[in-house]
Amino acid sequence: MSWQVVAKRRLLDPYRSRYLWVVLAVTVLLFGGGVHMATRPGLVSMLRSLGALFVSLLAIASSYRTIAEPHQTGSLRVVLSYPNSRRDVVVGTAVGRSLYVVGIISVGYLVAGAISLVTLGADSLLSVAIVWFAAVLFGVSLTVLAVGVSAASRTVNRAAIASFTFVLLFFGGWNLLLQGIRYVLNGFSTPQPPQPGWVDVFVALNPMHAFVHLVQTLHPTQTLVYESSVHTTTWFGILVLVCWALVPATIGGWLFERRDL
Amino acid sequence: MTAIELDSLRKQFDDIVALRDVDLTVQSGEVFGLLGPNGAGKSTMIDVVLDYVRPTAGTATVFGLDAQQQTKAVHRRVGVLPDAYHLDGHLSARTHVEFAIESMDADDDSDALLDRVGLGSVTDRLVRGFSKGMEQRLALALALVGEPELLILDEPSTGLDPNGARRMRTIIHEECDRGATVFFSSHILGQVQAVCDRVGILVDGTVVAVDSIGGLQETVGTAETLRITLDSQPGETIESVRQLPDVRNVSVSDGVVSVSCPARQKVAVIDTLRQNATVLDIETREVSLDELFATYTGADG
Repeated sequence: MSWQVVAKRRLLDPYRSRYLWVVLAVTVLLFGGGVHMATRPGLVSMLRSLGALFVSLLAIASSYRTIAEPHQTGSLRVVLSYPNSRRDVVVGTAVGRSLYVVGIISVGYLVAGAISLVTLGADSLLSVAIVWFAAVLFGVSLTVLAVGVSAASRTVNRAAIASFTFVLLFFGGWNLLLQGIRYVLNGFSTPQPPQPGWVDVFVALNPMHAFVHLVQTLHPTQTLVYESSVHTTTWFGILVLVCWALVPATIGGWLFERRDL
Repeated sequence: MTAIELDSLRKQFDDIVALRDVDLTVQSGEVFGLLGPNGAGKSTMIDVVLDYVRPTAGTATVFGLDAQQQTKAVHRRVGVLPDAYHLDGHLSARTHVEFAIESMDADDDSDALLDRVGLGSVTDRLVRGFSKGMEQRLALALALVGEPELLILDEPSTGLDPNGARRMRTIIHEECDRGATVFFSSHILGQVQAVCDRVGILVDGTVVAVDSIGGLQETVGTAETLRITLDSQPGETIESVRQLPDVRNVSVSDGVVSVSCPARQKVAVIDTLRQNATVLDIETREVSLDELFATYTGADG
């Protein structure tokens, strides 16, 4: 199974570069500083906001180059000269980079846990662990998404533009898109309340929302703000994250396998 | 046994036809040189065999395995020095070789391999600081990992100094003695002559000739260029020279007659010219690759 060889290389690659120390320093500062300033009631929302911003940028920034760059430079011609299939390269890269991203996220939340233990007490650890768990799922989802985008792209530039377009889409673009769709469906005029039922489902399909929502449904002290239905369950949130990983990766892998290097 | 077999292989990029229905057979155990000018389609041919590029039509097989369908099985038996490769600057030479060993599921000693290509003293240096020649040596070491049955080397002597080129030839001979088949491309005639058993000549996406090295040398020998300096204009004797069999590319400028002809016709050419003028000087020049291609394609270059 040679995707494991590729995964190992992709996991270890960052450890050979000085860039890793910068990422670690930023992680420790962000999470350490953030939690240090947080109050007990504000801890979860602090960790969640940190997670949403930090995890999405980390996952995308450390993965969008992973296949497009070796494709463009020609190092893929060396990797593929061994008995590694193109699928091995995509799967191995997705696994290796996901482990790396999970490692960095875990460092961040470990630092958060250590500081909250001192400043806020032992009962804050559960909150940290829950946000960490959701952040890991979110991080893996966006990492695999970015690897898929990278596999679909012929150049690093295109991969960068496409990946960061996704980030913008998840941050604010999703609402704009929603409003655009409603405007069009409403016969090109501003929609009036009440909003149709599918709007909540559409909102729930945003992986950023899925992450925030996961934290909420998993956290025992937090009361549900949504009325209960399929798209407000924990499993629906996880399913959304899985789909955002697998659909782009499958399409990207499919395009990559059919392309001339 | 057949190492590589190309059957009506055709590759068309948007508006360029890189390979035009190429048929080629490389026997197991031979050193086969693919000779051709830049842009002839050599790298495209190799890229199809490695499945870096998919053919428009036709098939490529390696040891009877389909290059496009059974890619992994093919690559288990092949060592590759590809064209337009890139080595990762932040990794050491040793790390590159170790990745290759792991990928090939081999048990080579990375230090011994690097020593063999002349990089024994820089095994732990980052590739970032390597010269083109050192990168090429490392790429050769990567191709040798796992004692592959077939070595595919695309322009292996690119960037090598004379020592490096000699080492490359020695390694090719050693690999061949071990029983490996070697298939390599080059646009330099001398290299091909030095190591090959057989040569294929690729021009503009078409294999115009496949010849033994003896046959190639005969052709090379018969296509020398003669430059004859005369004391006066040759006059009508130049037409007589043009009538001689196998004499081509006859031209005159400032009393210097330039002629491509086989060795056996040299004397006839000079005798003909002496009928009208005195010969002051005779120079012979070895055939250039362009002239060789012209000889094989039958075009007057």
